[in-house]
Amino acid sequence: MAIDGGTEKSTFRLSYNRNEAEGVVSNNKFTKNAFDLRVTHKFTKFLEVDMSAAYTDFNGKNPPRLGGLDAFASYNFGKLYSWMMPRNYDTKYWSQREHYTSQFGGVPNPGNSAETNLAPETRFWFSLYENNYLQKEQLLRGRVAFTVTLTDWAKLILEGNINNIYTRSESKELGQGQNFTGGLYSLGFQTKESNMQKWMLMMNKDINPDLTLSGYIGGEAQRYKTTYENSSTSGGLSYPGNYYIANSVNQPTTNAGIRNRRSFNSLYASADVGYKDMLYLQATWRGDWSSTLTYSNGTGNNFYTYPAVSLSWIFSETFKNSLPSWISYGKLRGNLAALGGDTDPFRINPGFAFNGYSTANGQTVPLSTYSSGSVLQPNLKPQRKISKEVGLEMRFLENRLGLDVSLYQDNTKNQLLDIGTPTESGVSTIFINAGNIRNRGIEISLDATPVRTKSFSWNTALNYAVNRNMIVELYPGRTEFNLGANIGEISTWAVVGKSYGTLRTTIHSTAFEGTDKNDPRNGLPILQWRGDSRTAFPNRSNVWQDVGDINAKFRAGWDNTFNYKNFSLNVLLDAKIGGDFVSLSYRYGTHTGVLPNSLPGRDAQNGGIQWTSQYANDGGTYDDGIIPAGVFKPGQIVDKPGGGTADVGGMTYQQAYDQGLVEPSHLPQFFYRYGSSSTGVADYWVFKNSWVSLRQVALSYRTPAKFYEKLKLNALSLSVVGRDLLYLHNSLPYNFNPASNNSNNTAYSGEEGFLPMMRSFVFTLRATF
Amino acid sequence: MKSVSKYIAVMGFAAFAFTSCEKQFGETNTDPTIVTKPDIKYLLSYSQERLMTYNGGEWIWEGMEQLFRFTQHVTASPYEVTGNVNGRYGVYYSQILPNLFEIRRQISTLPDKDQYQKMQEVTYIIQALHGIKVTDMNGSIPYRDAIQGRYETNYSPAYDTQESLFDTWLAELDQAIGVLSNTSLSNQLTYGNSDIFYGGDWTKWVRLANTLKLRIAARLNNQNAAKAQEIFKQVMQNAIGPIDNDDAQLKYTNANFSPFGNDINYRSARYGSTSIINFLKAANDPRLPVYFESNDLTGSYEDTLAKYSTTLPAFINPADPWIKFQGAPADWTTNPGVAGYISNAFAVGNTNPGNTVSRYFLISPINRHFFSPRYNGATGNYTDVLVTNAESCLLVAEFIEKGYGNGIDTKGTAEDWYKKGVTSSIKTMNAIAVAAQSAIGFSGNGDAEINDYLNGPEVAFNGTNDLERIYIQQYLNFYRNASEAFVLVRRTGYPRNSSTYYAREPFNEQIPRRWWLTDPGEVNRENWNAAMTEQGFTPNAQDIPTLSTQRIWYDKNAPEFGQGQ
Repeated sequence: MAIDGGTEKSTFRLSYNRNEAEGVVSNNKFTKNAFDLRVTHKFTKFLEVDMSAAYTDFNGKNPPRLGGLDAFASYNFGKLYSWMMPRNYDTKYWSQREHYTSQFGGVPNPGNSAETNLAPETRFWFSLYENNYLQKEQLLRGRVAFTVTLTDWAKLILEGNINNIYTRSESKELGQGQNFTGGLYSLGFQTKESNMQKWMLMMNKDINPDLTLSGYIGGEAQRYKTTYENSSTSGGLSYPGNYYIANSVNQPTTNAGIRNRRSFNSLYASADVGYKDMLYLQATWRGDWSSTLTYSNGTGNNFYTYPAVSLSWIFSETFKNSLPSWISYGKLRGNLAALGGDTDPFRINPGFAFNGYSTANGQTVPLSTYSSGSVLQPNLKPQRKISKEVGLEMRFLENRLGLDVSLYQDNTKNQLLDIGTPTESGVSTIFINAGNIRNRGIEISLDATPVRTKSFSWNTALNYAVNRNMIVELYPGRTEFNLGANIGEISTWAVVGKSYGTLRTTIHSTAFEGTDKNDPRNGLPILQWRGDSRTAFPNRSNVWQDVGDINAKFRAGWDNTFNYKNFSLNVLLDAKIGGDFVSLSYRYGTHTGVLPNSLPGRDAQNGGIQWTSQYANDGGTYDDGIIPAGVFKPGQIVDKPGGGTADVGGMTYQQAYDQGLVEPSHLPQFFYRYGSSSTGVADYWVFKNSWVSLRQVALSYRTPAKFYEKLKLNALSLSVVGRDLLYLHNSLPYNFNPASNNSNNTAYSGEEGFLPMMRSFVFTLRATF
Repeated sequence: MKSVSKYIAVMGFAAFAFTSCEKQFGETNTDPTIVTKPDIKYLLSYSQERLMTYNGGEWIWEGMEQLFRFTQHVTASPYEVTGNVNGRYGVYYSQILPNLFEIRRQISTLPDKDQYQKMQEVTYIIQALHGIKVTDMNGSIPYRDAIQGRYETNYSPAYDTQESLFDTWLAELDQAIGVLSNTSLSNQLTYGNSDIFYGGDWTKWVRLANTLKLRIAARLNNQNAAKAQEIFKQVMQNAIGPIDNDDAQLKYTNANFSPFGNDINYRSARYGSTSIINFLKAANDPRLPVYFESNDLTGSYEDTLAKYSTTLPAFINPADPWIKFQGAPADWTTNPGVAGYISNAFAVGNTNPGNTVSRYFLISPINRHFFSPRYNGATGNYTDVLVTNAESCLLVAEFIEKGYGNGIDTKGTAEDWYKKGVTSSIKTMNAIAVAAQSAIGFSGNGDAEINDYLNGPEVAFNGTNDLERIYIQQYLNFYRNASEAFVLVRRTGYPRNSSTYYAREPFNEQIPRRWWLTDPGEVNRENWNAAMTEQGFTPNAQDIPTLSTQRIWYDKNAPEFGQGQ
């Protein structure tokens, strides 16, 4: 809701916004109230003021958590439903309190022989319904800007603003032990303060009718500081289910301090020159002094600049007399920019920090060690990125058709990052200025109005983007760098000469390679053999192998708007084609047998081989036999059915089976080993993540004047918008959610348990009084 | 003009503001919670605390799940070895060594560094203490070139052979013993309470160093018996000598720590093996109720059995006074009949009207509160003794029994040291149980019970298999130290398969004799590859058959499991 008004000297606008939402997972909700006030006033002919103040209050509860306590589901929604629970799991039954609580209180304990409630993975329901995680945030923003008109071509702006966020977080966990012992309560406060002061002199002058000149010079100072304070119970709650800090079995723990703080001083200038409305040149320069690149003694390479220049030529204006009439507009542009970057606060000034206490032998002694396991390269420099772009924009047929093409290349040098070192050196990483990472690409967009009549029009826009990056150089003596984005045992690497985002692992199997190029065994995985289950399965190679590339081939989007009288319909599709995705749920779903790919061979009905075992201590009859594809490693000894051993090295399993040296492998054992945390291989759970999504369909209606005037309104419109409606194409198996990426860190491409796909519908009614 | 001067004033102000702000940038970018010159005593406490408390994962994935099954102290479901073993390796280089090196570096910059000589030597003893454990399961490891990343920028340390590691540690321990025993050094400062091992008592540190030398000698014995003998003689002739009293044990008590928590049954519950429980019962060992929990055959079970005319399964003797302690086979596949009673209770009775079914679990679990005093909401306190007086005494007894004490004053016979060691073990284990509030073996000082035990036929020296008795008592003493238990069983081949005294049970599983080191990446791959090849290891091999046949250097002449001489 907003009201505004004004006179010739002042204006004001006051708005209030309230947002209440409930999540798709139980117990998850938030409420937000936002107030915004803006006032402008002209004091005199040359002095104006613009002020605004905003206050937002946010209260949120229980966002769904996708981490985990251990290898099982614990509180991870995604893990529980994608691979832990069988398909016949009765959610309604197991989510009732009497089924997730033990008669002894707490979570049922299978290790207690007297336990009566033998329910599976009850921790999940227990923490979903009995725990509460609350967060309250208050945002306060204020801004004042004075504009002083110095002459008719120069204005001076003086501005200051503050932006503070106050957060209070609470965690309330009910004890999961017998009699509800255990549990936790924590209370934390965080204050994020920032302020900025800025001055800017703006100039705008036509030197002569053909030449316009405008520009500005300015400077600003920014200050940021985040402080925090956290208290938590320790060792459980003395009175179960009561949430306050004093209710702690052991002494509560407290932590407080400055999380970070940084300061920037900047200076900048820009000049824009325009010639005859067809040639434009813009040059800008900015210099930043950053505290985060300053050493404690005040020295440091803490200054970096961002010069940039761009030129655009509207050639359709220059050649307007000689161009054919179907070209309405044409512009060629090029720009070259340098950008700088700094690092995190405190990073370059390490030392020794306290690390808690030891309460050994009945005493309390402080512990201390290095504040960081990272060692710094001396004389660190700011990051630098050089960006180059050329573009062409053209419009045809009186703006009915438009084209925009842009080619770009960025080279990022001296990136500040941590590069891993062997742990035996006593440090875990070196913080360095690293090499040269090149990013280049092309973006093309086409827009058109194919149909335009008095009451109906159709606008369409198509865009296509390709981006390729490559590590040109890293660091002397280093060709590879682990980006630290691990999904299972597959990690993302930057490798010199390859793209940023190569997936690598040591647990892929080794492919057989015979001396003969046409050997039929070539490409089959080398197998391992377990004597207890008499099952063969692919053996981990334990050497690093590349298993994928997270980068997409291209991205595209297609936006259509249809207007008919007062109705407007918008349909948007977008797509990403290519890019590998690591699916840990697929691995574990195969390992536990809950996914359909683990069916073939599981029993006679599903094509399992039937046989009676001839092994002396067996003799059972089975119907779950398979012949795994693969080659036994050289020197592999197996127990023969009927006694004795044989060397099956170099034989395929089929060959060994045909010779009677092995019996069929049991399918459940095979898949168990194929995906387990100790023997599982990476051969089958990296997929291309290509998708085409019906991203949005929006229908809106502007009521005609004679209707809203009757209601004494100035305007009235209704709309209904559907977002993320469906995937027209999804290359992930079993309808896995393509948007389930584990993190928004760009190095990640994969999931470890995910929420289901969600679509949303928004209904809006907008009225102006 | 007014407007132009206004403009100049603003510029001038801005320029001034910038220069004074810049000087504060250094202060802004410094975390007020860190210092550049630490007090070294806090650094020592950190290394010591980490050494004592990193072992939660190690107990769960290595000690209980693998090593104690291989030694046959416990029996449990045989899970395969996971990548979570060998936690001892990473923690050595990332948590223990860095602070110790930093302490020496800080001392070297102090003007009064001569007063810190004793404080400096203590760091070497800690390095050897954990280093021996690391090489036990890994063979060649970096040591002389290690921890040089922070100041010397050496990120590719070479791997030292096991033989040279022991030489280096023996030299460092000898130097430490020399300096710490030297009473003529003046004005030596101490760590005081920050030394959570010994509170700054130099004599106890010397005893620990001597016992560590005995540990090394025990490991060298199969490769170089002469050297082992020489080390033994040095230790016995040292003025202070090895640990020989309970006060000098390396003890760690902490009410706020337990490595297991409630995870003592993680993946599978553990039970006593048939061999260990049968021996403890036969010898009337006071440690039996300390180590193992009773089964369900307590209280009025006999009446219930009589009511339903049921007899217990054949492997249980109904007249056994210790019937409430029963073991299960170390390898379930060798005796599935008995092993079945681990997960399945023995049911007595029926569901006819007026009758009930009583379920009795027959196999004794390990005493969970002994290992994890806060298990299931209990309120006991944790104690760990990393280097016991018993181990020290029994090593001396072993060396004397082997004849290494000829020609020197061994301050007692093998039997004297044997009795001292056994007494200490029983008293120490009982004290741990008292603190943990778990079942105890005796109340009071235990002298009567221990005396009976020492004079019993299962324990007293008989002139025939005294060395075996020493080995078995070492074995029983290592019930809280899976790592040392495994080294003992591996180097001696005891308990022996065919022994009439204490027989090793049949075990069909192949046992790895070491762990593996993974490829460290391009920076140090060359050194790692060279070390693997030099030891005859297949790089990247993590399978049990390879790990059970490719041995570390000092293990190369040792007998197979169960085949001691």
